[in-house]
Amino acid sequence: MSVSPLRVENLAMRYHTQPVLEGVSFDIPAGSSVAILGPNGAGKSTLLKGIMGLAPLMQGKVSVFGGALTDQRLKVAYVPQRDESDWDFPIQVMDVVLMGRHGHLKFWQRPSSVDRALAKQALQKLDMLPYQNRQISQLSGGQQQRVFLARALVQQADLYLMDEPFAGVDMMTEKAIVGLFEILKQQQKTIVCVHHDLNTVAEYFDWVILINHGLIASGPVETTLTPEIIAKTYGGRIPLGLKLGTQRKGNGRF
Amino acid sequence: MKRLSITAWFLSFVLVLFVPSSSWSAPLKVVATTGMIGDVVQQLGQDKIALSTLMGTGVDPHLYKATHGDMRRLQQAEVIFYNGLHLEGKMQSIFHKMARSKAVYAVSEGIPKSDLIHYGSVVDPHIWFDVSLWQQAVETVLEKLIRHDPKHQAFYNANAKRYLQTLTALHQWVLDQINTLAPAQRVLITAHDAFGYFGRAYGMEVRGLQGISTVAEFGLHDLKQLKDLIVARQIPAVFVESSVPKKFLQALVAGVSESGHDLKIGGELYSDAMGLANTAEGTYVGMVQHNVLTIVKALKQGEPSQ
Amino acid sequence: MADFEWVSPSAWMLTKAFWRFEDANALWVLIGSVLLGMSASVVGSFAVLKRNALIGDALAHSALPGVMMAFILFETQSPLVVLFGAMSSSLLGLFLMDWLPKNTKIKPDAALAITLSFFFALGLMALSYIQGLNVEGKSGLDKILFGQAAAMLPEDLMVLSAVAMGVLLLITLLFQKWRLITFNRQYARSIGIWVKAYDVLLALLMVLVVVIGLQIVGVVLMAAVLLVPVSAARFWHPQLAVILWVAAIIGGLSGLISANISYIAPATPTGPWMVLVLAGFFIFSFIFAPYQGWLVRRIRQASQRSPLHE
Repeated sequence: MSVSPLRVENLAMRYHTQPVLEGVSFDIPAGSSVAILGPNGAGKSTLLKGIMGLAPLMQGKVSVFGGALTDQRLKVAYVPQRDESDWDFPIQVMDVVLMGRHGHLKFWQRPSSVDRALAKQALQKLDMLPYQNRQISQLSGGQQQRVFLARALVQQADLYLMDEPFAGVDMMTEKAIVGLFEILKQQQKTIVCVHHDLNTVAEYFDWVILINHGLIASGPVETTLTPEIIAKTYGGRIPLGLKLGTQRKGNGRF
Repeated sequence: MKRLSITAWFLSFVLVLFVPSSSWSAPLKVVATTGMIGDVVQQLGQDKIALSTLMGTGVDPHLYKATHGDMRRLQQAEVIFYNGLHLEGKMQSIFHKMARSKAVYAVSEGIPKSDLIHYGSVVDPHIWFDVSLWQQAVETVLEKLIRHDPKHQAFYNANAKRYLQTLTALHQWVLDQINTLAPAQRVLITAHDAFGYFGRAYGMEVRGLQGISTVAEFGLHDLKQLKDLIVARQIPAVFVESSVPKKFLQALVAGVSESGHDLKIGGELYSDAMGLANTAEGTYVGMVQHNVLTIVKALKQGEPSQ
Repeated sequence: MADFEWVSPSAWMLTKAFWRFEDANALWVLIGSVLLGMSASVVGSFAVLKRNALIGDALAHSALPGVMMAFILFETQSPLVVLFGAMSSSLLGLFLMDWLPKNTKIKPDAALAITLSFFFALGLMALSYIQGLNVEGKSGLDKILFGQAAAMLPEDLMVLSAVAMGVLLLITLLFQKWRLITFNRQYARSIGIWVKAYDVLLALLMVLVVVIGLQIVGVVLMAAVLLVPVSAARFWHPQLAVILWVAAIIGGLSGLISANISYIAPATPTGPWMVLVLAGFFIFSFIFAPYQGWLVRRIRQASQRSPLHE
């Protein structure tokens, strides 16, 4: 039995004086691809930030590969929400991707040719290599997302935490991300994503965690994503276009 | 009986309140701007006046802005003396305002225009460095004091006579001192153009790094002009002023040293302000003596090979 | 007695003399202004990118009471005492601007404005108080408001050079880290970068640059030297590293040109001219710069439209 890549015990978080999350506990099997679901404002992004130590915990414990995050940093890659970054910043795609290597570098070091090679590989996997010298302000939303993913890739981590990677991306990007997921799965990496589209959950992920200010459910997608649990999570505010009870596997689309 | 004595006390108390203060020997309240003017007023008025001087040691009158305390003193004054000729550059509107309801006098007002130094349309206000010219300011102060306090006319006159005699002797002394310098040595370089009247009265060429008002800033060009002059005329010393940053001339000296000429700071002169209160240099006479002795000593040292 | 004739050589001859470096004062001011221009532009660039452009202005204004207090305590205006005093109150202002938004409902921009005005007023009060003291050597403290570059001494230049070169060196060394943090702060933290330390270091460098710049451009104009170079440089190139180089060049050139002008014209202090030259560079960049200049964009638009007309 391999060490759980991510284990959360009794986590509670607060935003100013309001409690956002309470009593969240779950344990993820190694090598799974996990979707964190819930309505807007349920605390999904906050949960990811809490796990990454970017927002303070009121209570609870987070174990990454059996240890504290601070000891396991090199094994974890974080992909922030796209709209939290300044895309007018004067920087090129390649430089953004190379940022992922700085976790491995000392403070005075610069990325080497080895790092550059890794970056090119990562861009290739996401079909972004032709854009390596493009200014990020010239990219579309989907392309920006792929740059962020490439950056996470070069970290050569074992656990990937992504905040809404599929939000507002075009078809090509969605395809590229799914392709990346498959590569990572083959390498037995673990992926945890905040996801918003109930229609695609069963197709892209094999484990779901449903959050609404607390844990509603955590388990394999087939057994956990039931209409009752969905209703409980979304409290009657079921997102439009959801076809309940549909299960899709493989690469089938619509 | 008791009621009578109480009433008598009460009446005298009331009467005392209503007696006009001028029939008491209350000193005349005078405010002077610069220390030099304050010294004149003090010399003439002695204990018959209550003097308040706004600008103490090291204060630059060109840049001085009146504080709240100053305004209070000015309001309470009966007579106000200022230099005039725009020396107190940032207080002009205050004088205009005060003049509407008070006796406000420029001590330079008695000096005929032809005696003043003009730079184009601007007049040099540093009149106190020509002792003979400053005597005219003393006369003006005397006249105003008598006008506002005629009771002590004789007292003021006696003090003025004595003081003017001192100044006449001082004027001659300065002339004698400067004459001990060879003509080629008589170049006075200071921080700003405060010594124009001094130069004219006692036979010296004077140049300042800043113009006649320290409000004007100086740049590299002004430094260069002075440096060229110093090197060309082999001037041995320049003089800092107590009311102007020493640093400016230190930069000049450092720059000249680089070109090989041995230039020193000859000493500190009291230009727009006198020395520390309660010292010799804190009086007008002491200030002039200090300046002249410092200048002569420093400029004599560099004996040019004639 | 003959008056000394102020024969003024022509501006051209003076410029030639300037470039022969014969005039020691001119050389000191030149080096000081250029180094200040270069280091201030680079440090200020990061402030602008962080959307915190006016922090330099606040730091400069905050330095005033410290300089006054240092004089009241030590009764001297020696360069190291002034530096120490300026740094202390600048850092205090920095702390306040950081503390207020975190512990009260006051937003960062209001906190900056409050700190700036409060410290500046405190400094002016102290200046007025010093005027009334019966103490020697107090004149010239107000020169910190607008600078007096021509009064630079070799020891001032040594301190300035040491600080400026230290700043430039550190920024070169840690450039990629600061770029990362400025672009994506949360991500930087996630990969284990000690963001807080980098923040403090950058703030410290900014305080140092502001403090050495006070003698040349003064409190009131310091913000311009920090902000205008990078604002102009952004029109020239899309990449940050190049932008910083261009900003440094613009900053350095403005120091150089203003020193030259001060040498040619009488009663012309370097500080205000440095800011005027920077404004000139900005306008020039806005119109003519190859990457985002107005003229270039018009030409590009025109050439894109013409195929449609055919």
